[in-house]
Amino acid sequence: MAIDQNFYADKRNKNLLYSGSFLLFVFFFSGWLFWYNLFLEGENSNLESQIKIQEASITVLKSDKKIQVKELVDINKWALKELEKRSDVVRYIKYLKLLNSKYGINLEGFDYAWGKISTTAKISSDEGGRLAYIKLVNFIKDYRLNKDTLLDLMFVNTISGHDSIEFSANFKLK
Amino acid sequence: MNQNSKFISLLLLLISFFIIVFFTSWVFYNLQWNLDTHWKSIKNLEDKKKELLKLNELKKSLAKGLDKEIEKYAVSFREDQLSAYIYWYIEDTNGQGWFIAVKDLNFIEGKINEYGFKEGQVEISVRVSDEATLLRFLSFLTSKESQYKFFIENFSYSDTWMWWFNITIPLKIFYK
Repeated sequence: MAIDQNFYADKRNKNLLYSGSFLLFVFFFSGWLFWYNLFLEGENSNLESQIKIQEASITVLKSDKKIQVKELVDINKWALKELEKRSDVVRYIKYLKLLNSKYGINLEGFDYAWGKISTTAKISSDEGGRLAYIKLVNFIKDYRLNKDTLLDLMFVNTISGHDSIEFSANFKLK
Repeated sequence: MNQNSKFISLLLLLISFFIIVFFTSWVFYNLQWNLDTHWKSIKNLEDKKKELLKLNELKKSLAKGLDKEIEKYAVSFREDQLSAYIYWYIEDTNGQGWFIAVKDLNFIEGKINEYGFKEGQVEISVRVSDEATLLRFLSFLTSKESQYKFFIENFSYSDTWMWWFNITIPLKIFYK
């Protein structure tokens, strides 16, 4: 059986062709990656400079006093609203006067501190025969049952007197 | 010739692997890092553009002076302006059947508080003729129309009125 010399020659040429092609592929692929990498580096440095320009404009705007105030007001929106609500002492004074006429009592004095109002309640029997203690009980019971009140009536620790009743009425802001 | 061809094939493969290991892998690693940086920078730039746009719009709206609430916080803590504001109200309203007079005005310049504002204190001691006058004065200080943002955290008075009462109103003022 005769050996085909061309068979081995072709195989060697093919091996050379494959390895040469592989090298070329590696060479061009790596070159493309290298170029793309350089391109990205340029783009990134361009983006970085654009960010710096934007940041500089933001810093200038943020140095504006009114913008600083607006930011603080937005951040502390609820806290400021609460402080504003707590500062409305006129509303609370008028509300206590309303209670006076509604329940036939007399809330004297107004001491307000940190959301708590202290007054002295004075209740006397009516000339019409409505006893002081009935007015007292009615006030505490009815006020506590009413859900639409502006202030919460705190627990009453001491009640003094009979025909003329006096106690510390302390309220808490809702 | 045959041996040379085999050697060249092997050499070409060896060079290829050498390039892959020592160059392509390094470029690939850098590429990953650059791609990450690229997307992060694009997002960062978009965020900054949005923030700048928002701030520009805010500046335009504030320049019109329509937001009275902001104007109140943007005031300066100046004793001349504050005393003028208080005395002006008193002078303007007196003689209408009631009377109010300043006894003392105390101003304490503020330090930055927990909200980021400067917190000054104004203590007003006044003599008032009746309760309604006092309530009108308090409303003037704390109403939405007030020029300053005054807060009241504590306040006390006795409503058993005789004639002329001395009242002290401690106020807090937030400013920038």
